[in-house]
Amino acid sequence: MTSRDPDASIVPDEELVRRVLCGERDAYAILVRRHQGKIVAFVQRMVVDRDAALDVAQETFIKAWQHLARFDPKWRFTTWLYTIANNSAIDWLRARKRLPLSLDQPMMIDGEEVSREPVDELQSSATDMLSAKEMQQHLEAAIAALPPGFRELLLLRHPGGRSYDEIAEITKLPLGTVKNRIFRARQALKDRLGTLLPADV
Amino acid sequence: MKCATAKRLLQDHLDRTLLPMDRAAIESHLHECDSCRAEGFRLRLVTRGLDRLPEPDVPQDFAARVMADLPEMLPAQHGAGHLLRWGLVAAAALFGFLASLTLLVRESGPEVARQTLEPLAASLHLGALLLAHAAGAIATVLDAASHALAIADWPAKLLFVVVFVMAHAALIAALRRYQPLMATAPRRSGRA
Repeated sequence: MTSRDPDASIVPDEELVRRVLCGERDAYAILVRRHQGKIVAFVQRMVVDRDAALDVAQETFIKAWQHLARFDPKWRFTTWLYTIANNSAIDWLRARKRLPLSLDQPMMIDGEEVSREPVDELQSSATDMLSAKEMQQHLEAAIAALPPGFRELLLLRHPGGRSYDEIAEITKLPLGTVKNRIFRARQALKDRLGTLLPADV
Repeated sequence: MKCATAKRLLQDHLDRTLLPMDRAAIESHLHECDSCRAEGFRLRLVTRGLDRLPEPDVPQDFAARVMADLPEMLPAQHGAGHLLRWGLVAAAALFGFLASLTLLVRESGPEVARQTLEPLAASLHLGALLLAHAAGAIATVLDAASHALAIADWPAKLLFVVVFVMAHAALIAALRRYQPLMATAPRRSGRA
């Protein structure tokens, strides 16, 4: 499906929403293509399941379409879209009982308890220099091991640097809770990655 | 600055949200304390790694599949449905109001048909006022609820039903309260 607007890439999201509401269906395809990468990335790291992530991301865009008339232009479209994506991912996890509550409880993934030991104690090549790719893989694994209540906030913050206020708006959590959980999640990642991270500047 | 304080402020420091005085204090501490500096450096690496997480590949036909699965009805038409719903709300409220009036007239007895005209006018006036207030309250609550519950559809609908029933009950209660005023005054004049 192609857009009728050759300058679609510079049209703000909110203007595209207005066009959709005026009956221009193709404008929604632009919105989907514009945000699909980030939404799939967010959902995939939330549900830790590639196939499910594509389904949940697709469901996110369909729900957004169904409720588009309720979109309030005083919000950013992405704030609204991430709210739907986050709720959809949480619903998916809840339906599969993959929602450990806190960083202090055992974390279960696919029915198995996930170790909280630092990665360097699990890897024989702990002291080896890690490539950026390997570090990214360890980081992804450490994120996946976080409880969803912390993971969602961390992933709303990174990448992209979304403000704590906006994250509080998306999750309907108090600002203090948002900051506290994100700080604790980063701390947990640092602890889990252990000495894989160099200690000196 | 003590290490405990520095570690508590480290992430705010990384987020660059500290006040200048605190920033100067923690930077001074990090300059002197190897342990806190190492902690800060590792946290910075984690944060940087998080910010550089790549986007996974998305199937070429993802957007096409989304578009193919969208309902035929456009969101704007949902908006029209919204207006239709409000029309039904108004019609239901009017029906409820007329039903309330019928109840009042029936309870007043058939002999007061003439006298009912005056109460009817009074109750119409009162009812219109109450209805306007009730409709305003419902609209306000629904508007707030539709924003607060924009994602989940059913809670908004449930809230809508509850608010509507409560507003309607309040309307009837108010009309009943004014019934003696409407029913007794003409009767007295009739007896005289």
